[in-house]
Amino acid sequence: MKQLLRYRKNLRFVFFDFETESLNLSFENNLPWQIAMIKIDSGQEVDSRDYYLKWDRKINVSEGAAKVTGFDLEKYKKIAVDQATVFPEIEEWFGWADYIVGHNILNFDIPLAKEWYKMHNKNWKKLLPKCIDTKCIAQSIKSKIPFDIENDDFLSWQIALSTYHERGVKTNLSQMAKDNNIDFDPKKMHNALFDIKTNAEVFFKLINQKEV
Amino acid sequence: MSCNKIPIFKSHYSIGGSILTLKEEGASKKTEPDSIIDICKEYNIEHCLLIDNHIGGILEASRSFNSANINFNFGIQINVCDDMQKKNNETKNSYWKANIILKKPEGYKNLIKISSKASVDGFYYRPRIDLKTIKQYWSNEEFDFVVPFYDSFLFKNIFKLKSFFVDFDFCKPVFFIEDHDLIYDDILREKVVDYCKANNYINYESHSMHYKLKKDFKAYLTNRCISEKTKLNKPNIDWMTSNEFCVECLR
Repeated sequence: MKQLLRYRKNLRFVFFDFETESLNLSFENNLPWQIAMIKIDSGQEVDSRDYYLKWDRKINVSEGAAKVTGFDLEKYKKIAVDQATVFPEIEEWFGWADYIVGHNILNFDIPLAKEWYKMHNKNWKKLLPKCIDTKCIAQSIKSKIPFDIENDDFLSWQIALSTYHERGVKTNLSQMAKDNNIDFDPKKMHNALFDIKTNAEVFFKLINQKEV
Repeated sequence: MSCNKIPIFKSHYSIGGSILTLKEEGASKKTEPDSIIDICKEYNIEHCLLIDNHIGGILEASRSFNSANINFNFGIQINVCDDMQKKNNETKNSYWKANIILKKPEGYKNLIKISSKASVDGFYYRPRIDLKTIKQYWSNEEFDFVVPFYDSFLFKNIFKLKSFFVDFDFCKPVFFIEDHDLIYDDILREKVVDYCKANNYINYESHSMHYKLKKDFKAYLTNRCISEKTKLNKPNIDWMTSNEFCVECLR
């Protein structure tokens, strides 16, 4: 018999989020300029990282995207580090985790992480069974879509929900924070580290509302 | 080219679905879109499938493939729904894709009829047809019924929360399996293989191609965005995450 996530207290989670140039899903057209991650071990935050990433081409954040994500070119130039020096740590963190969690990761961050893994000739497919997308869980709660823990495949179910839309149903992170009475400063939204800390709070609320 | 996969091309007759043309061998300039015929010659592809979203390209395809001595089978990809007369909100997005492949030229007339029925009688936001109507024009000698890897009823049942039940009482369908490094490819492969095993259907490894090289993905995506009325920095197209629908990845 499978045990619900809410009862598995000793799990290791990595929450992560990219901030990127645009909403395109291919590396050729859209590079992440920031990655933030936090480690949660047995319910406690034990570590965090926040990197600005430098690639072999110039980052090109549109004016609109810069406004939304708070991208500051001068800050970026000062603190960005070569992606190749950051990647081993990403791989190590993702390897450490029982679950890799994020909001809308199946439809956005994981396809980009896949490209990054492929760039370094690493096996990205091992990430998939670890993925938990809080947007999918939120959608399932709001749209009342059931999950049978014994018979449904969790990843397939999430993939199906990742492109599911219902008119009038909002599942973005700020809405989920609001719905779950989590303090949330909308001005800080899309700051990667702030987003994932909020995301973690949302996640632990959601798993008490959905039997996953 | 030595390859165990069935090469499947889509041409620019599938609007927004491909940037490959059907121009005769050697007729394309370097600055123009690539011709499927030139690609077949360059990669020594002696036999391929050309599956478009409608029948419009068949004449140019026949002329160009025949003059280059390349064997090809033409097919159309159609949207199959439960009942093509039902046109309402509930049925708007309730369809799956199937390929009808011509086995011999005599089938052309019936293929036109199937295509017309879908485009005229069944049209609701897109051409649609039901299996009952396909059956009226079906001949196992003229056609193969191929279930594509992506957007099939199996795909939609798993990843779009649909519940299509399909009764193939008039044909023996063939299922295609592909791998383009999408996050659900392995799950879908397993489901297709299991379904074929359970129902005694055959499946083949295949490879769909919409552009020549990986680097052409941007041009393809731009074309697709124009067709979908979206932008390159926000394409808003589900699972547009692979640059492997190309000839370069046919191996």
